[in-house]
Amino acid sequence: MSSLFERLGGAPAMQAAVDDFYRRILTDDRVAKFFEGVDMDAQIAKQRSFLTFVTGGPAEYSGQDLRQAHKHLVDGGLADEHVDAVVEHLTATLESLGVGQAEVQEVAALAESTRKDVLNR
Amino acid sequence: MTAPTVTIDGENLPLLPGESVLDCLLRHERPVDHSCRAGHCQACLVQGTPAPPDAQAGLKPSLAEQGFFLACQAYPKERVTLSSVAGAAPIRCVLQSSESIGEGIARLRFVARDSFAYRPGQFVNVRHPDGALRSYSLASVTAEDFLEIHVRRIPGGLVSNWLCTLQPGAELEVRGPNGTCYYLPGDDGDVDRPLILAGTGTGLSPLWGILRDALAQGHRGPIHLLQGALRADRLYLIDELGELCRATEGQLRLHLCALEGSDVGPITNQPLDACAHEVTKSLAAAPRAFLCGDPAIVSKLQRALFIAGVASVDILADPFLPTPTPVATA
Repeated sequence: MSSLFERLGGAPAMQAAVDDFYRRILTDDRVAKFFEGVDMDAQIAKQRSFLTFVTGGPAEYSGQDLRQAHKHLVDGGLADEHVDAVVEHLTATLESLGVGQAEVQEVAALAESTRKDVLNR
Repeated sequence: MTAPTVTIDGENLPLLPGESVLDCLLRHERPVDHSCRAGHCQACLVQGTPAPPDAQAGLKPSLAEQGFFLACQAYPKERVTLSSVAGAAPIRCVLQSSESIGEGIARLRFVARDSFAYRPGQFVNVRHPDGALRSYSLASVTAEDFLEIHVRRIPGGLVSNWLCTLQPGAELEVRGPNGTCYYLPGDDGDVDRPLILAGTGTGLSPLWGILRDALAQGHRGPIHLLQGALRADRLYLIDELGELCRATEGQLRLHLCALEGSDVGPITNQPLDACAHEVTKSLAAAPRAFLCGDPAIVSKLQRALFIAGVASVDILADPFLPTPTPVATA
């Protein structure tokens, strides 16, 4: 069976999904503050590899990279509630693309698996 | 695997941990052109093998294929053998005219001695006789027989003050063109989409080129040009822009924003990003956007437009990065 990444339309379709996902994050006061002063193009590239990874597409994503990338944010107060908010937006993005509940849950579980690395636990 | 090393003219220069190829060359008193140190101005173009792929981001494919890369962005994990640190070939130019077109802003027009192909909105690196380089965007369009740049005179600025003292007939050397912030007609229907051109200060210079280039290439959709400045008297090219508004019979709409001394006539004191958000929301179709000038404002504009619904791929940004304090090379 093909991956959700392929069924969503692969890399070209991912662009619109990434925009939707990142726009939800930037307009959410709970998490937007962590993206102040961040280079948007670079951030969008990172969100693209994250979405590619959680939908089973070709993306390299190591726990070590995640730890390194979020360490300064954890020092600045990044906590469970913020990860919850991001997973919420991920779910909303997939639902807006018409992805079925079972698959949305699978993706959310995969995103969930990065929590300990993101929060440097 | 060998330790990270730069090999040039048969000499091996070991890289310190976390050191870029540019810093390594400068530390060993090997002169290399450089300016922004942020992978943007492309002044530090060097050629070698293997070219670190991360240091080729944003290069023209033809340059990347030839093994060119940006020395300031290169952190090789092995040996890199350089064949050239001379960068791209310089273009010799002669100054045609220089005049003040605004508060502290000069318009320089010069003619290239050799053939020079560019797209309006791209930038060139201008070389000071001492070797310092600064990036200036091209405000001219290809139908004009000169290249035009807008120079803001920066107090104590080496290159801007030198440029402003040049007399017609003076020779100068530029390299480039660089940059990807320019108008392409795109796919069917793209010529009917709205355009948003926004910038502060001499960010207007590439926008003035892009604007006239889009019209020359048959752009049909509405064009909104947003010019921002701290003070109203810092806005410039107002008359030329007004004329173009009339000539295009409403296709071009002008939005002038100044934070101080404003709210007179067509000038409002709305912040530029708020204005950009409002304009975007008023559009009937998804726009393409071009943002130039002060990096902090370009970043704000980029975010405002994205949040207002503009697709990230439709936002082209050209932040004018400041030149970092020079590092002694000898």
